Amino acid sequence: MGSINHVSGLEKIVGIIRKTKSTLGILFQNGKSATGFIILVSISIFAIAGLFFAPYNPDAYMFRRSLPPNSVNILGTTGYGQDVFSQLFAGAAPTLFIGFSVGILGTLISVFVGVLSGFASKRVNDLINSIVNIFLVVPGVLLIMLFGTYFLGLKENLGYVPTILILIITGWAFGARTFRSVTLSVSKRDYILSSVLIGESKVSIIFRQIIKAIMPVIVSNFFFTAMYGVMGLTFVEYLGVGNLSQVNWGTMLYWAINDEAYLTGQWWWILPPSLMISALMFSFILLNFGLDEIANPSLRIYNKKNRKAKNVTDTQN
Amino acid sequence: MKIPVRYIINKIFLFIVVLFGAITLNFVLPRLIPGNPAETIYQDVVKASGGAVNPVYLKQLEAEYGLSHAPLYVQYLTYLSDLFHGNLGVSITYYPVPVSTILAQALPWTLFLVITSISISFFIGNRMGRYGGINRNTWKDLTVDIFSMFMASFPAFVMAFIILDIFAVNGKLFPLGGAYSSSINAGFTIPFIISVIYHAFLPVLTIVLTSLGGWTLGMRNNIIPNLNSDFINYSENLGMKSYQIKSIAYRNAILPNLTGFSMSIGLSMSGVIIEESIFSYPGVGMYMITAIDNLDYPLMQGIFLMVIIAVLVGNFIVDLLYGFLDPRIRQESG
Amino acid sequence: MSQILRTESISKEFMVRKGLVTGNTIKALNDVNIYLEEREILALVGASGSGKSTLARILVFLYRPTSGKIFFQDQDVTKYKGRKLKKYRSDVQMVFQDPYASLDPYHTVDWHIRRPLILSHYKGNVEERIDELLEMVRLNPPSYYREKFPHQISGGQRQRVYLARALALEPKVLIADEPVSMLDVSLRIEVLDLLSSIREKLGVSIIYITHDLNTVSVISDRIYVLHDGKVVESGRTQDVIANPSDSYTRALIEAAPDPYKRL
Repeated sequence: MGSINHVSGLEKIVGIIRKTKSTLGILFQNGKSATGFIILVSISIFAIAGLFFAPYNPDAYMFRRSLPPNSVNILGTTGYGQDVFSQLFAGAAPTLFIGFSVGILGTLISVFVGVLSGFASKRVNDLINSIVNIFLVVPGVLLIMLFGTYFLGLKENLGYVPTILILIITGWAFGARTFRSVTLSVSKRDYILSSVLIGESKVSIIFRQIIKAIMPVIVSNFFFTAMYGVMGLTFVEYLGVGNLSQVNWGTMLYWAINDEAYLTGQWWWILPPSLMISALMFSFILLNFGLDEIANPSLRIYNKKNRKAKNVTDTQN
Repeated sequence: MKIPVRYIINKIFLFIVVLFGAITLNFVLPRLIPGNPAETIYQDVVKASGGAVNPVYLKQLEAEYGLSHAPLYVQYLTYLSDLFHGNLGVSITYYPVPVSTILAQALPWTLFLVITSISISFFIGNRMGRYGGINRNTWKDLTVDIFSMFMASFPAFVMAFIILDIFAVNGKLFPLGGAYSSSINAGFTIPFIISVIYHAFLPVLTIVLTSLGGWTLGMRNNIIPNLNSDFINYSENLGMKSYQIKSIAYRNAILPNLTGFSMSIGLSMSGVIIEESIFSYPGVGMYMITAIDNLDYPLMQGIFLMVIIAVLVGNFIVDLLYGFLDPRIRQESG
Repeated sequence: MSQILRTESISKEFMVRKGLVTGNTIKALNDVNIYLEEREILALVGASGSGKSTLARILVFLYRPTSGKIFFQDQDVTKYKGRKLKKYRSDVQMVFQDPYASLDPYHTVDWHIRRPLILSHYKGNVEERIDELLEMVRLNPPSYYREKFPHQISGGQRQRVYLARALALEPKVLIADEPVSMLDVSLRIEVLDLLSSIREKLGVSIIYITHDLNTVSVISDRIYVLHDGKVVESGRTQDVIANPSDSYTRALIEAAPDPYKRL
């Protein structure tokens, strides 16, 4: 690591900024991922603001029940007398937090399992493969129910930990399968074999080379898993195996449905969380899909101008 | 036609391994719950009914769980042998109806919904993906993409409520629930079949809409590299007609999309389970929600097991089909 | 001269498909005996599918032979594992066919040459050594190339970077698997010339694998012709090309495009 010592702290920071800039540049190469990114950033700003500026206590039953939107309650009130907008505003951050936690932790697990099985012996690989298959095949809702009732049985207040755990347990397998096949294909490339020949250890190859090579897939998978996290949150809450005293978009939906808001015409109660969840999911799907297009060159379609530019660089070489 | 023996043996092996894993998980989970699950339920029931419960019920519950305080391996073996004899215990909610009786009534309806909706969504989704891929990077492609992604952004149950609200509650075009009209006798008669289709329309529509996107986007991403491939260019240069080329590319792209089936059976099953309770459709999903509300573990475990077996069998059939459809696997048998 | 590397009836079978029931096998190599002398450039010639690349990969243990033995400096290395295998691999390095695939696109030229130096615990000044190696493969000035990524330099330059990476371990044997087949004809001579000069300067023995008989006569001392996994002919390069005894060799020579022959 002697080589890195002479790089000063400042240069490191500049390097990180430059890298972030180039990553964002990649996102903006593709219309879909750019749109998704803008939606996601907007929702994130909404969520952060919601932590500080919710007009009323989202939990307090301080208004008349089932009021349609008016000047005091801009999105009306719930069937229990809470301010819908305050719930939506304050519930954004926990919803995003769960999506991101599931996205990050789930992706970490699937990278770990996938890369490991891509490098493991055939027997270990087969074992991992069948475990992944069990989790892929078993309907996620059943696992959510089973693990959910298990955590409910614990009867302890663990905050969002059980929900996040359940969603990671049911959501890691998709990515693991992807990373396994991607690692298998990357590890057969000449430049990895070359590193084997010059005596690099497996750990070094994985961390210095494989992870870099599959980074676009990792980022794309993060958005996919985060999307699963948000979708899964709504399922956990809907099934009643989450913690219903928390305020997030999933519990908002649960209470609205539980109070039969859709039958009694209280659209201002059921629609806002539905639309916000859909917008959030939509942004994750756009990012996931757009990044796939960027990572998979065969899907990339050059316009004439780009193709010309590419030919020029080819001849220069 | 040659039979890909090795491929089939591999798939059977995988089937058994996964099934065994699921059965074991089903055995382990209730035992992970701290304390005695029977006691937990018993206390809840006592609390709920204000103490009007016969204490024999606790013994009964313990028996249902095989909580004989025997060593774990003995319990496991008893559990396996019970399973083998189709003995899934007795439901607590519908006491004393055996779980297997409930499942025998409910499972066919669930399978009917799942199979119908997967088939329809597979067909329409692939067609839409084909349309998007062929018109890649035009506004047509973009419309198809955005529509698919937008539909996939709705949690299945939200979509279900929207559809229920529009078509049944307000529109009054479709029934609010049930699998067939109670005024018609069950049987293979035309009015009965029409009634079944009429009642299944909204649940199927919901699942199709929410699962369409996966097929569409998958097909689009499979067909584009195919349309760009050298042999398609070559065929074009040979003077093949455009519709012939499209159908070749489509056929090549549909095969890898079939591998998505294993995931989609599980996902559609998830969707169906959720939606049955919303549409009051008498499948396993409706019973599952009841079972959770009442902590009816025998029923939960029975449903869990049956659904997994159904999904596994479905996967197995798709895998076999795939083995016969993919020439690379078909040729491999020697 | 003494033999530095030698194989003893090497065979290699590949399973076509592995499952619960074993599949068909293909014999890629069948009872191959070759030897390499010190400071020699040896050519392995054959069409694609002749087993020459399999042999190269067996010699660096990317594959294990099904049967047979490999001797390095009269030591049986066939069963080497772990640290011993690492040591052997630092003595016997391989250059890949496709310079567009053999360099990691996410790392600089500098990194590619630095890693083997760090791994072999190079005693001297690493920075100077990197410059020295780049100069040796005629990439001047080294400072210009060090921070380049593979996609920023040409195929011929990449292949030279790869040579520098392999030479950083100071190997005794270099196995070059079709090192110039992916390059423009005008660049081939440069790289081949570089190979011979490496032999002269560093005393490295080289196994040059190719399907192109024209380049063989330019640099190699001795030749083995492989066909269907077997050695069908061997001898001094001039002798074999001037006077091929095997019908397959004759066919290969006739098939080689002769730049001086008019159509």
